[in-house]
Amino acid sequence: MVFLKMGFRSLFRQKRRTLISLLVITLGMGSLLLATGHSRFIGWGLRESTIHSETGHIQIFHGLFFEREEETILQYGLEDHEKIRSEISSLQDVRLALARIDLMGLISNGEKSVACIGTGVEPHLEKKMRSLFGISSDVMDALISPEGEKELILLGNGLARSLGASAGDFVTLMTTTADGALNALDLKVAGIFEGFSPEYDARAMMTPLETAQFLLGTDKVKKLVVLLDKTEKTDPVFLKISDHLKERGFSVALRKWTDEASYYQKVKQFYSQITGFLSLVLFIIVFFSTSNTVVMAVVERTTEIGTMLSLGTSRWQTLKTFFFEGSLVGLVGGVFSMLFSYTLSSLVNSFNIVLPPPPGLTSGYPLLIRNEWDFYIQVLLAVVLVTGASSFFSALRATRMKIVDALGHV
Amino acid sequence: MKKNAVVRVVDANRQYWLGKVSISALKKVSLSVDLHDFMVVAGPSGSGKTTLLNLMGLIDKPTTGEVWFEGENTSTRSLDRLHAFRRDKIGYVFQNFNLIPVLSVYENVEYPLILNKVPLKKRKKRVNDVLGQVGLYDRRKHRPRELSGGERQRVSLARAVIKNPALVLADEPTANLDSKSGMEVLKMMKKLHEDDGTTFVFSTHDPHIMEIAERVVFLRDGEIEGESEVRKEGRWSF
Repeated sequence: MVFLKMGFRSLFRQKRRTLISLLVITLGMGSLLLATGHSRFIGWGLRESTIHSETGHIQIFHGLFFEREEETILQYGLEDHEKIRSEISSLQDVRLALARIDLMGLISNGEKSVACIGTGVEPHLEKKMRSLFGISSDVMDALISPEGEKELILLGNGLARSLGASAGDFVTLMTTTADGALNALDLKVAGIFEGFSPEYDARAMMTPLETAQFLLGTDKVKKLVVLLDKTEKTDPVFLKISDHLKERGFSVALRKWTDEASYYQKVKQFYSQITGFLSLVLFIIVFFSTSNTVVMAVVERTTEIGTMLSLGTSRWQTLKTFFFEGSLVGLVGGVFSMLFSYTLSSLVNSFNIVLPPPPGLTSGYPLLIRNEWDFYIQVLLAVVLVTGASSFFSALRATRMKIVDALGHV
Repeated sequence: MKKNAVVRVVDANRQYWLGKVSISALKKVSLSVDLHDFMVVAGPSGSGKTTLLNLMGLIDKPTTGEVWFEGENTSTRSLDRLHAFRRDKIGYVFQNFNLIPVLSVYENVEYPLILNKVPLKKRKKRVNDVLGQVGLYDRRKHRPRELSGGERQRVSLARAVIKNPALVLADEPTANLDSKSGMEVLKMMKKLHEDDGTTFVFSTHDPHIMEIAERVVFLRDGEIEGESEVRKEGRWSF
């Protein structure tokens, strides 16, 4: 206890020096928390938008879908998707399951034909799934006709521009059916949407599932997309659904969102590298800044170290006292940096600042900082260790001196 | 070796190097300090007093020769063993007091008992008793910077004797004090010696202070010039 007391009180010997150390830690670690908080927001936002607009948390395919090449369209599509849906909808943590079909074809305004890729969707369920991110609900509402009209289509911004089409116009969509025959249907443009990139928008379209099935001449769907209450539940629910469906004799293949979100994985890796490098730089700055002040303190206290050793304090105990003293600076500085970061991030978040779109994307993104307590605690522990270590190594030299030399140090 | 010798220095040489120049601080010094001695190492500045005390206090080693402590040849002992000797058996009073500035008077005196893992209750009683003996009980909550030089040296003395060490070493304990404060500290050392039988060795170059000792060893140029038994009944009563 006396050693903790000594470490604590030593902080107040050179108040200005301690304050400088605290300031370095607060600004350094606070900046790290802010930068990482923003990159974590981007990662989190990208993850959730990928899940809510594209992949869902889990996707269910026909059991042979990934094992064999399809010879005809939807050869390995799901026939019993309604049964599967009713089986899994009642499971805990499953929010909803929706069916999708991918289709490709030519879209024409009568004068010009453009290749397109699209999705057959269930608009009511898609609207629920995309309620947080992605296409605005107004546009998705456009696919839900009060009169039960199904011959509707949503065009990507670029595709609509290419066709010179706007809401209310008619276009013709031509595809190949499952049997290999050509099929075409006149569809009313219900709305225009903006996707995540101009390249995607130049080709993308969406149509109700029934319309897609009619065009492809099938009752099957390509997959069921399952949305959960929480992304963190993906792994356990994945196993639960897999076991549940196998027990009931369904031949299915499951994929997690992580298997389908390569863009997200790359972006996440990119930001991890940036924040990792930033962390390293900031920790080195903190280490050397605190080392510098601790070295001065240790030099001034060499005689005191000699006294402690001559009284019978072990070198190890002396070092522990200095380690504690350094760690305490780190702890106080770390807490200050957390407060600093939390306050500043709350302020920034309240301003609703929108940053310009990054290269290749169509819309800007909000400047938001995500405060994740697990990361705060990690940074706090790391800074405590770093400052403790810098203090420890600075004191090491003094404790290795001969006691008489330490006592006679001026 | 004498049966009751606390520390014995045998043929000790201590050389220092200043660049390429060798300085002999002690030359073949042999000396024995017995239990309950109250001894002065006297001599002019540079005679090797501090070096001799450092060897006896096991905070320095002779270049050649041996230092025996309570029958153990310390030159063959590990650092841990020497550390244990210092912790358990030796008390120091430094010329510059060397108190730990962030600890109070009470905590400074308590410190050696903590190192010796003395239980709290016993520790408290012992610290208060010793602070009473050196007249600083009322100042126990003060920090060293709030004390006079004489008071600081009394704290240093209390810290040295708190663990009932086999040997207390005091290197010019009065050098930084005025004569009145110096005499007070010496009186206390003498009283502790008389009451508890504590073995004291202290260094000085002041002839007046030598008078208090029961035994004086004279050093000059790193060699023992002579030794006198100067104890006379009643001569040094204060």
